[in-house]
Amino acid sequence: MILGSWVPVFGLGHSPDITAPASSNPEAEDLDKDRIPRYTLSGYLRGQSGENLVGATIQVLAQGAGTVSNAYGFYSLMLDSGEHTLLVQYLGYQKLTKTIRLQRNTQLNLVLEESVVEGTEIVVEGKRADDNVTQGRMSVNEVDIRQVKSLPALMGEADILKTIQLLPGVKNGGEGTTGFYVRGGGPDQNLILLDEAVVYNASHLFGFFSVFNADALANSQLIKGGMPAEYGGRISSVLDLTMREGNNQKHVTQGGLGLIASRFTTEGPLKRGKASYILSGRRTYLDVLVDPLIPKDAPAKGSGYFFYDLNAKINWQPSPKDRLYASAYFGKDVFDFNNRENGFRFSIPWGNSTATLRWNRILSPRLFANHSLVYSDFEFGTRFTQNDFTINLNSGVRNLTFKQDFDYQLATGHRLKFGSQLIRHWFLPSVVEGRAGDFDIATNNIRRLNAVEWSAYLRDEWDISDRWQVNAGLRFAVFQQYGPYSYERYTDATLVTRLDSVGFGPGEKVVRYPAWEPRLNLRYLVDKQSSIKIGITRNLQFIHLASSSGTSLPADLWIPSTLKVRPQIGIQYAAGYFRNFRDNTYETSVEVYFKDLQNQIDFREGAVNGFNPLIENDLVFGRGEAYGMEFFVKKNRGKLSGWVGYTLSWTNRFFDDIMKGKPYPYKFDRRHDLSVVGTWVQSPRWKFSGTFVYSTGNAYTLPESRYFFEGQIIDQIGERNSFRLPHYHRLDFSAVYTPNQERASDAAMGGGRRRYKGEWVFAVYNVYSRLNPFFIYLDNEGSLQQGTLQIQAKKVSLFPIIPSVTWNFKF
Amino acid sequence: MEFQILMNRIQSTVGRTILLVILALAGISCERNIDLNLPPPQPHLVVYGVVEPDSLIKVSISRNSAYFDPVDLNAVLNLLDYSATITVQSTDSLGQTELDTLKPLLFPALPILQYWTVFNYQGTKIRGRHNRTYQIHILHPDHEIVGETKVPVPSRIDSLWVRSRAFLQKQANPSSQPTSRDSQLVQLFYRYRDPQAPGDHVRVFSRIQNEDQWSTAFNSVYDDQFFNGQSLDFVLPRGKEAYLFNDSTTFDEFGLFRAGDSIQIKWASIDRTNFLFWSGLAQATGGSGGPFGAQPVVTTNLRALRGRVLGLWAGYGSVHYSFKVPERP
Repeated sequence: MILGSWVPVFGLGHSPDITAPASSNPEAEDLDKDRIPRYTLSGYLRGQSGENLVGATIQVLAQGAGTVSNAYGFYSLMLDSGEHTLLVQYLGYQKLTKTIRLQRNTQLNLVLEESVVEGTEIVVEGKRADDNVTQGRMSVNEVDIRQVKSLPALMGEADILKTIQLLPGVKNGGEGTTGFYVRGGGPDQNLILLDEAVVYNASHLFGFFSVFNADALANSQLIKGGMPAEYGGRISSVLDLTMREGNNQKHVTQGGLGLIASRFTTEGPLKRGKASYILSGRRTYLDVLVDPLIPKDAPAKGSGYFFYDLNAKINWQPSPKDRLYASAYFGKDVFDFNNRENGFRFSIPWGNSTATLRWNRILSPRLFANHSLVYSDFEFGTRFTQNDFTINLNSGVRNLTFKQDFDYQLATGHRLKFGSQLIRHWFLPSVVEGRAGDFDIATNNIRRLNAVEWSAYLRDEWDISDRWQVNAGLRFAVFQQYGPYSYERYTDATLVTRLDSVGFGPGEKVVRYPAWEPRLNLRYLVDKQSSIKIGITRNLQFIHLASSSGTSLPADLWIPSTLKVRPQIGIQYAAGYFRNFRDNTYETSVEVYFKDLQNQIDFREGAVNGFNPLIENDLVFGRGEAYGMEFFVKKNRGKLSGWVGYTLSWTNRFFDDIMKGKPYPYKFDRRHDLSVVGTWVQSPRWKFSGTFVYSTGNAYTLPESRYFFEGQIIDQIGERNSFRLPHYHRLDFSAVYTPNQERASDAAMGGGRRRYKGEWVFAVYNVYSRLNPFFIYLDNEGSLQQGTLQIQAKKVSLFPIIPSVTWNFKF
Repeated sequence: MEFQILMNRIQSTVGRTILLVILALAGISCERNIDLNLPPPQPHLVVYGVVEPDSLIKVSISRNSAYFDPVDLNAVLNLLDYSATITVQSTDSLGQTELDTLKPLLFPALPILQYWTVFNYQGTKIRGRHNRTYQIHILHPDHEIVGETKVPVPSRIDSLWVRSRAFLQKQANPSSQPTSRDSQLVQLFYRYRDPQAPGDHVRVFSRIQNEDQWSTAFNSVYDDQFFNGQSLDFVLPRGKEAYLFNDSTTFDEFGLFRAGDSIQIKWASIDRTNFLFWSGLAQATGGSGGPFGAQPVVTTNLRALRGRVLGLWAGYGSVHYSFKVPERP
C-alpha cells in the first residue's frame, strides 16, 4: 500500500524493513566525528483507511525513547544513525513492530491495522502498553469509540458522553443525561471540541442524548486536569473529539436502525490515497411515526419533536508536505406545539453549527505546522404566536477563530509545541422581539455583546533523565470586551435605586483582562512498572453559562466577561501514583486533586427567571473548591476487559450573597461515585458488556418550613443543597451479535458484489429496574377551606427497565 | 393584546415544557410517595405591612410553621402573633418627621381568611402619601426587624375595554361556534403608556360590585423590561381569589368577568423590592423548581437585627379605576 511516492510506507505487519540509503551527510544533526550522527525520522501515522491516528505512540525499543503523534497524526523522532526497532501502538489498532536502518533524515508514513476479535480473546491495544506509567501527562482518559458502540446505552443510542461519565472524576448530570461535571466543576467549565470547534451545547432532547454521532467520530480524549498549554478558555476539563476523515481507499456505507433514531454514513476516496470524504447523518423519527396517528382535526395536530445531526468532512493531500481538511457539523432540535382551539402555537428550535478549515504542513522533518479557521455557533429560539400577537425570544453565542500550532522536535525526548489563537466572540444573551397588532414590542432591547480573545502559548515536553520528565507550559491570553455596551449602576446591592447608565460606543473598549496561565507536570519513573506524577495548572475562563437550573439546558445563556462579570479562575493541584501489573495487563492509578475555583457565578437569590437582557444584574459571584481522590483499575487483555473507577470527592461553593457566605455543597457534590465497566468476548459472534454505577444522591434544596401570605401557603426554602436524594445505582447490559462477518449481496445496490457486515446490539438499561430519583417535590392535595389539605413528598423516577435493539450494517 | 398572559407563559413554559416532553417521550416515568425527614424549622417572624395613599398603615404579624404541621383555618389563626411593638416613621423633604405606633387588632376583620391577609396591627396617625418613604421597626421578644419602603407616584392606564369570549373565539378560529354563555363572559383589556424612564413596576388588583377585598392574578406584578416607554394593550384577568371564593364561578371562566359586572381596579406603582417579592412568590407558588429549575426563593425587603424575618413592607402608589361591563358586551 503506497500512500505517496515520496516516502516508503510500512504497516499491516508484513512490510519489509527499510534501509534509508547512505549518502553524504548534509542533513546530519551532529557532525562531531567522535559521535554517532543523528537523523530525524518523521511522518504520519494512519489507519488502513487513511485516517490520521492522533496520540499514537512510537517507541524505540532498544532505547526506551519515543514520542506521540500529534493532533494531526504527525510524529517526529531524532535518532542515532543505525538500526532501530520501532513499536507503534494506538487505541483500537494492532501493534506494529518495525525495524529500520536510519542513515539520513527519513520521512516514513506508517499504517496500522484495526484490531479484530480473534477467537475469544480481546486485546485493547490502548496505546503503548505502559503509556499510563511512562507518559508525563496525568488525569487524561482516552476512550475507544468502538468500545462506546458496544457498551449498553439508553434506548440503544451509543453515546460518547455517557461513556465518559463512567470514568473516575466525572459525574453525570442526572438520570440518563449527557451533562458531565469534572472534579467539582460546572457544566460550562468543560471545553468540548469537535475538530477544534467549540460545541457550546452538546446535547439533544434536553440533555438525554449527546450531539455526537458515534459513527462520525474517530478519537476522543478527556483531560481532567493539567491541561496542556494549547488548550485554553475553560477551567475544568477538555473533551477533544475528532471527526473521522473518511476512507481514502474504498467506498464504505454504514448505518444503523435504532429505537428512536437511525444513522447513515457514507465515505470513500475522492482521489484514491489522496483525498477522501465522509458524510454522516442521524435523525429521530418519533414525530414521523406519531403524526399519522393524530387525527387531522385534533387541536394538537402539527405538534412534534425531532432532532438531527449532520457531519461532513473532506480532506485532500495536494503535496507530500501539505494536507487540507474541511469539516462541518450541523445539528438541531425542534419542538413544536400547536393548540388550534385557542390559536396558540409555539416552537422551540435550538442547535449547534461548526465548521473547520485546516491546513497541515510539514515545514521540516522536525517542524510541523497547522493553521485552522474555525466557526462555532449555538442558537436557541422560542417563538410564540397567539392570534395577531407574535413574540420571538432568541439567545445565542458564536465565535470565529484563527489559530496556528507548531510542533517542533528539539531532540529525542524533547519536544516543543507553540502557537497562537485569535477568537472573535459574539454573544446574544437575550433578545425579545415581537408584534402585537400594530405595535412593535421591545425592539430596542437587543443587546449583542462583543469580545475578542487573543492568546499565545509554549509547551515544553522534556525527558530530563531516564526517570524524570517535565511537561511545562505557559499560556498568555487577553480578553477584551468592546462596545456597543451599556450597563446600569445602582446605589445599592439589591438594585433598588438606579443611579445612572454607562454606555460605550461601537468598537470602544469596555474592559480588558490579560492573564498568565502557567502549568507544570512532573513525572518520576519509580521503575518500569510504576511512576509518580504531580501537576499544577492555572486556567482562566472568559465566557460563562448563566444557568438557573444547575444542569445544562439549551435555554441557558452564554455571556462574556464584562465589567461586572470577571473571568473565572481555576487552579488545580494534582498528584498520582501509577502502576501496572502482569506485563501491563492491569493498569492502576490513584490520583488526588484540589481545585480552587474563583469568580464563580450564580443567580441571585430571588432573581426572576426568564429572559432578562440585563442578566448581569441578576448574577452574584463567589468561589468554589473541590477535592478528592480517584482510584482506577483497568484490565486490557483477555476474554474479560474493562475498568473499575471510584471517586471520593467533596465540592463546595462560597457566595457572599447566597446564605450570607456560608459554604454549601455544589449540586453535583457526591461523596462516592463508582463505575464498573466490563466486556466479555464469548466468541467471534457474541460479545457481552455490562456497566454498573453507584453514587451518592445529589445535593438538593428543600423547604424547611412554610408560612401564610395573602392567603397562599409559601415554602420557606432551607439551606441550599442541604438535603440528599437517595443513592443512585443502576446496572445495564448489552449483547452484540454478529451473525455473519461478511456475505455476498447481489448487485441490486449498484452492481458488483459487495462485502456486507451486520450486527445486532441488544441492550437493557436499568436491568433490575431501580427507581432512581429524578427529582423530589412536595405536593399539596385537598382544600384549606375544607380542612382537607395534605402535604405529601413525592419522588419522580424517570427510566425503569428499558430494553432496546439496534441493527447496524456496513458494506 | 394578551401580552401579560403570553409573557407569563413564556417565562414558565420553557422549563415545564422540557419536563413534560421528557416525561411524555419517556412515557414510563413513575411517581411515588415518600417520607421526608426535614430538620426542625428555625422560627421566623412573618410580616406583611401595607402603606397606601390616604389610608392608615396595616401590618400582619405571624409565625412560620413546621412543614408537615396540619394546615387548617385554626392553624392560620394560631400563627398570628401579637407580641410585637411596631412603629412606623416618615420624614418629609422639610425634615418634618411623622411617627406612628401601631395598635394590635385583637379582633381583626376575618373576611375569607384563607384567601386574604389578616391584618392584626393598624396605625393611628400616618396616612400614606405619594413619593414618601416609610421606615418600619418591629420589636418582638425573639426578633427585631427593620425595613423601608416607598409609595411611588403612580403611572396611569390610558383606557379600558372588554371583548366577549365569543368574539375572541371567533377571532382565533373563524369556524368556531360560541355559545350564548360565551357571549356573557368578557376579557378585560387596558392600554398602558409606559413612562420613558426604565424601571417602572406595577401591581394590579381588581374586584367587582359585591366584593370588599381586592384579588389578583397568579402573577400580579409587571415591569417595563420589554416595553419601556411604549404604549401597549394588556389583559387584566379576574383575580384568582374571586374564582376560589365564588362557588358559582366555574373553572372555564377563570380570568374572565361577566356581562353587567361593575369592575373596580387598583393600579399600584411599586418599588423594585416589592416587585421582586411578588415575582418570587408567583414563581414559588407556580411550581417552579424540579430538576430543571432552581428552587425559587421568595426574597424580603425586611432586615432582621435579631432573629429571622420573612415577608414584605409594601408601599403601594395606587390609583383606582372603575369600569361597567355592558349587559350585552
